[in-house]
Amino acid sequence: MQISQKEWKELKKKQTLLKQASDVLRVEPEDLPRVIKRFQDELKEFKQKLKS
Amino acid sequence: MLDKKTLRKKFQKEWEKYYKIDFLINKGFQRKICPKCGKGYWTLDPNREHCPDQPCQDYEFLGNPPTNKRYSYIESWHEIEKFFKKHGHRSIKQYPIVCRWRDDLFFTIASIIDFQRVEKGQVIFQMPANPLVVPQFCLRFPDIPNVGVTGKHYTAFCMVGQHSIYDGKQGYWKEKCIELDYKLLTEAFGIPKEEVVFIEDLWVGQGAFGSSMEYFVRGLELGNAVFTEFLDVNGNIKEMKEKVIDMGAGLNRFPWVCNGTPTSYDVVFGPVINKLKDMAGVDHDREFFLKYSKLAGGLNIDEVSNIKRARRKVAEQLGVTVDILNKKVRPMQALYAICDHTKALTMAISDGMLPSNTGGGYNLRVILRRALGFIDEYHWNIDLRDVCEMHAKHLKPMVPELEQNIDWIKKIIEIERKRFHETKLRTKNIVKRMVEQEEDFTEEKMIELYDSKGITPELIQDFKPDLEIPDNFYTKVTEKYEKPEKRVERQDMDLEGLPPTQLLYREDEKMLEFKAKVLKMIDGKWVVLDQTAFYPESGGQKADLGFIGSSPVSDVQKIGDIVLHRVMGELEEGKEVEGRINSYNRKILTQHHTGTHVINTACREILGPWIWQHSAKKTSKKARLDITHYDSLTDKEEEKIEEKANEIIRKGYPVIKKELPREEAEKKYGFRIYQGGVVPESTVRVISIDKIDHEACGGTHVDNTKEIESILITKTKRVQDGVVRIEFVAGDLAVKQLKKSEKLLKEACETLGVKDEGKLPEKVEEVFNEWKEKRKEVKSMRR
Repeated sequence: MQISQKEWKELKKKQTLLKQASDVLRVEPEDLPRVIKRFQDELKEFKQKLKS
Repeated sequence: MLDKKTLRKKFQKEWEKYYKIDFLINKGFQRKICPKCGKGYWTLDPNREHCPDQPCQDYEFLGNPPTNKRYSYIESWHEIEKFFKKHGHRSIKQYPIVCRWRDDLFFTIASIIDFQRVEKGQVIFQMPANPLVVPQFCLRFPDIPNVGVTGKHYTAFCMVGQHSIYDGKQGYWKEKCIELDYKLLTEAFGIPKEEVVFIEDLWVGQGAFGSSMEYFVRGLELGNAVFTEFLDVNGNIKEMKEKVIDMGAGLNRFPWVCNGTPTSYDVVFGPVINKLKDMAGVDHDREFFLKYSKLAGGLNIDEVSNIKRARRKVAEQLGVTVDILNKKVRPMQALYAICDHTKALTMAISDGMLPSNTGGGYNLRVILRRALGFIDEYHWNIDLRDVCEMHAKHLKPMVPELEQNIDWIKKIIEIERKRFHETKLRTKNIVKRMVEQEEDFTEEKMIELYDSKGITPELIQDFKPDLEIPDNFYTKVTEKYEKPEKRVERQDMDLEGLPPTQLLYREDEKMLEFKAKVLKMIDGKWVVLDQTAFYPESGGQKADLGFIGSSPVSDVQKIGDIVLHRVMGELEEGKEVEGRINSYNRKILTQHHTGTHVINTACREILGPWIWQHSAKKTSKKARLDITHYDSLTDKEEEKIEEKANEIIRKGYPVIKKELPREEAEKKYGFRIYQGGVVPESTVRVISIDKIDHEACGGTHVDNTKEIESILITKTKRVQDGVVRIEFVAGDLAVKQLKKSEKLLKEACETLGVKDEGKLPEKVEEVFNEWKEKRKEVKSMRR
């Protein structure tokens, strides 16, 4: 599965973005989508509590 | 085993056989027995009544040198080199002070070590010329407390090695050796002949032994010629076919005897100690020191049972109190120790060993902290980096590399200095509290505090001035790191009578199918074949997987010369079978193995020449390389290393595999080939990535760096002091990993409804901040 240098650079760029985003929440990149989902759910919950 | 005492008796009784040198007799030397110590010695002086060794004789050259010329340290080496070259010796460049070619030593401890190799458990000699002379810098740590005190002890010293292997035809033996040593002293250095005395002794070690002749001038031992000629075979004496002359002379001693200075440090450190005296503003009372030095030899803490009493005796003999003695000599002793320790550090760091809390680096940190401790104790404005630079300049005619490497030597010294002072600040309160709680600072406690928290006894003394620091404290803490731990070989299977397995993977790395005969089944799960293309786990590379017949192979190990395959199901002994190797698994292992060499090369280029492989592992899931480095890697450094590694891959360098005689490989590529450790064989397989990297390695490798396809660093971590771990994947695994990241990025963006991927980190931060804010509000609402 060889890829061109251009593709490599593109994928590396995406990997860097994923890492930067994961670093914000201090989680491993593979956990990021799941953790974001959890934060979103909790945020929704907080907002509801504050409304009521 | 024959013990030294028995052998000494035998040699003395049969002295004509072992010590009779016709050259000495023809010159008029007489053999006498010392009435004080009982040793035999050879002298031209009919009136001499005892041997010249301490304590039978004091130093008589102090303030009274026997030569007309006052040789400097460097001039002394040049004189010795000129003499031996004139007499048919090749002058060899010194070997590294970090002993990479022996797995039982961290540092080179004697000149003969340069030429000793361990092959199948036996020590063999490998000399690049015969005869030869070498100025070998050595490091030894047992004498730390004596350094600076006795006037003659060092951790770093240069041993001049005069070596010859004699087989009856080549090289020379005792007669010639003693003639040369006598002429070196009398003709080259101009020492009057009646001043030269030889003492009979013997040397025993590593199953070999022989007589030796130590030569003295005015009470100072200048050299020791050891004649190794016998083997101890279960208590029986066997004569060696190739006898070895190991004449080791401390270079320090030659300028000392020629100058008669109070200590050898005054002349050995030359301009460095003079500048240090100025920088520290220490008043060096030379006359007092001269009187003191004549007595200081008796302050060797290894030989004195009560050092305090010995010091009091010296003070009495000098007509001063112990306090005055200490005030007069201690600051100079501290300066001498700083000089010695920085010299040792300059040389060891230049050869790639970093101070750390483990292995050989442990002792380097001990002496560095000891030197810093003296600077703090006396409040001197001395920067160790300047001292290293002075050493590099002074030693340039002998070791030019020191000046070339000085920038990074200084960098490492500064990092360590900062760490030492951070530790001091961090541990100050701990020590204070312990002192307040009246903790009992036993020797064991002090060692434990040094090992676990880096707390030196001097720091404890700041809070508890009456603390008694054991004189041999630094010997105690360094002795456990004198030698590497011995590796234990696995020997739990019955392999008796089996012939060595023919290693087909060595002959043809591309061979993935082969035919072989089953020689033996062991415990119903290990099979031994007459030949195999399966690569057994070794050199950090996991074993090949595959099939033998219809039995899956899940592991392959090599014990001695025999390869064992772990299989499911019995195979019939004597039957011919077909072996098939899982090609995809092998491909990844191979990419990872050459990839490790590539990453190592990239690290050396990006981080610095002190980078060495500490250890490595290559599996079919990922690879890791542990390197020697003083700090964690920054993101930028990680990125640069990965870029460099991929550049090496893209450039398509040929990977050449060559089997070379070990001596030739070392000569051609240097000791850097031993990245993965020592090879205990006479033939070395060298893997060269074009001209940029050469390593001794038995693993499977690609033929061109292009075959690695790509390398992706997945994680870096400082795993221990001075060691950084780099985890990476290569080839398909690297692309798969990146694609996985791409998928995760997409998922994260979708979850947050981000269209522009570049905005994801910003958006995550926004959500996170909002989450923190709302959570706070919810919490305050509850209150």
